[in-house]
Amino acid sequence: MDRKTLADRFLAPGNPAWKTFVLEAHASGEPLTFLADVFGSRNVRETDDVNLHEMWSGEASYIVDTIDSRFWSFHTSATGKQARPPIGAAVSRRHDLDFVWLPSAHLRAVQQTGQIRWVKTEFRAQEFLSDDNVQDLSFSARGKPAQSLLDMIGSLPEYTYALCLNQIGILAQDDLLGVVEEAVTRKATFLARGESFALHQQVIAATIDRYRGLIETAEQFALAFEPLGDHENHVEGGGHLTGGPIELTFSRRLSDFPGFIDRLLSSRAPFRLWGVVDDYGDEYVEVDAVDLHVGSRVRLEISPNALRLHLLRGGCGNTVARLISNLQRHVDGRIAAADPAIQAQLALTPSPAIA
Amino acid sequence: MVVALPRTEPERDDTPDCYGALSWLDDDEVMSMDPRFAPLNALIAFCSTTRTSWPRPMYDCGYQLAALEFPAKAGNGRVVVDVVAWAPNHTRLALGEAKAGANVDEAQAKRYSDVNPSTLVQTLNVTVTKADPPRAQIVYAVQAQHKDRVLLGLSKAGVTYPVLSISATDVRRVGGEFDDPALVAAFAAPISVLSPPPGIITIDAESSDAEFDAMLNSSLVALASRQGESMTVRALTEDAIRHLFLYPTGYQQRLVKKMESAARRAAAAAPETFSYTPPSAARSVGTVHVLDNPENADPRGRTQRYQALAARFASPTTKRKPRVDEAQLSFFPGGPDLESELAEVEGDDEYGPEGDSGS
Repeated sequence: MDRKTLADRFLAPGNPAWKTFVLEAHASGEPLTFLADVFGSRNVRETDDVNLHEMWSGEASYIVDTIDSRFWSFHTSATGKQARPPIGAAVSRRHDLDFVWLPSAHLRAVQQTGQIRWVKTEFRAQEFLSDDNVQDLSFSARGKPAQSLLDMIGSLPEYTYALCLNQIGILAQDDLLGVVEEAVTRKATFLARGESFALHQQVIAATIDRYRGLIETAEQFALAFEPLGDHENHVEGGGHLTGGPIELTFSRRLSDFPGFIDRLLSSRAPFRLWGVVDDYGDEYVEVDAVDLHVGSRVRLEISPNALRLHLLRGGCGNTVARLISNLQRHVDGRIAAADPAIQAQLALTPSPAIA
Repeated sequence: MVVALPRTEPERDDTPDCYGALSWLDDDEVMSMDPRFAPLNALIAFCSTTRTSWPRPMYDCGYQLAALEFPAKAGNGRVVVDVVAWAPNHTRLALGEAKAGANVDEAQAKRYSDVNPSTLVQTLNVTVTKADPPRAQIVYAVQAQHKDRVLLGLSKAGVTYPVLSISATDVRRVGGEFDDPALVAAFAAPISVLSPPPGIITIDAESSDAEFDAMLNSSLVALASRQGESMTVRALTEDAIRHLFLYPTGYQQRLVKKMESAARRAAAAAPETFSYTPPSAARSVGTVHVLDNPENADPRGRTQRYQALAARFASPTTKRKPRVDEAQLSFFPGGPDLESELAEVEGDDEYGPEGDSGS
């Protein structure tokens, strides 16, 4: 197995659509050792390429590409029902593996690498919004004007909060490489069929590069206190502070604030945040929460109009992206960041210099 | 402590109206933010490079945070400056003293005026790029309700510093004027605030047991979720109180001791999940062990275990509002709504990593 064989498999006729699951991995050692720990040592095997690993789980086989040390691609030609459960189970039980959580603008930006064919939005807020709001909104449109139609619906100011892009289909074309049909989900699953594995890889790389920009920017905001002097001999006190909170603003005031807090901190998917709130105010709540997925503390300051998140040094930017993506899907599709550097990466608008 | 007041519009168009006007400094109400920390966090956030709904007048004047709790030489003595900000383009320092209460230490107030800006530049290791001699501006920050007593204390000390009076609705300069014309202009009129400042420093040795419990308990749950087996109270304190290193060793030990008590209470509150081993002759700090980790349960059981831990750690006096579940999914309780079940049949696992709807 090498990259040429991988590309040949992509082109093999008759298979179900090619699937690539991109996961964020925090492997502390060799990727093969890490994969063996997650999926079982008898289920992984090295290949001729040091960054490609063969893996089996359940009825599916995968080629795992770890050349990007943070974002690993799990390629497979298995069916969705075969391929998805082992990936979901691994992410669920490992704090060092996570999905890529694409905000709507990042999913929409996939069209930069091709011609849009269809879009699907899915807003599922039954658990978070009372029924005087739009609680669920699913929308799908096919054809070149699909995005324009979506934009028209999105321009209804009183309902923009209920739009969350969930899937997008494009036709990627390149004069030299050919044509590939791609479907991309907000959890960075790429389904592809076509003439060029390289073009498929380009679509993935462009998407992940944008996402990397978001989470690395978020990580620059991580709070850290550094002592002034030598840690061991530190007796005088004093230190430096770097970083600051990330503030997300809702496009409209939350109607059921205590209910929102309850569900946000319920330890349940999709947020998987643990926290104890002793004082349920109508206007403001602070909580030392825990991101159960990665096992790190995160301070939250929440009002019906905004949510501040204090990522601590060592915390993962994926925590921020997961929160944003899930808030877009379950609470407010138009959530924005107060800081222009984060907002630029979230909305993919021209980036200002980071202050 | 959170009582909704009539909303006020921000004075500046670029300030997002995020939190509404809050009475977060009202002593009569229960609130999340300990108001003692409001002046300190306000000063820090005034200089923050990160934009939030809290105003940044000092950052807008070119000041950036240089140090916290900085031990500065002051004549023959020393003064610990709560917040040091540095404006490199103006070669100016701002030395911020945040008052948790109303009392002014007169000797300390006098010592501030003995700080030599050039010495401070040398010890702070900031880079001076202009030939102007460095200048230092002392500024106090107080809760509005304490401003008169603080002004009186400064007067008794024979010093006239600008004092930033922080209320739930605005920040006003009272007392002396700033030396820096940019700061004079920035604080010429009251600055509206629509939220508490970001909670950078939220605990100290005078904080309540409940505050220590909240911090330690979240560190314990984080430990469990990482499938950790045990952690010393010292390590838990470093994890929970990230600004621990700002303080001298003796003060750090006071905080660790508070955390020892919190660890004992946590183990008593959730004995099936955590145990606490006190300090011994061989070990100067206690240790918390994870006995039965929620991570060992299946996904649904895991969620329930974490929810149970939250219930165990909640204060018996939790002020929780009764809530009508308007978002009830099904008119026939006992199972998921039909649409969710249909999505499940069709293999929709987008809802969460484990497809787990919890309990």
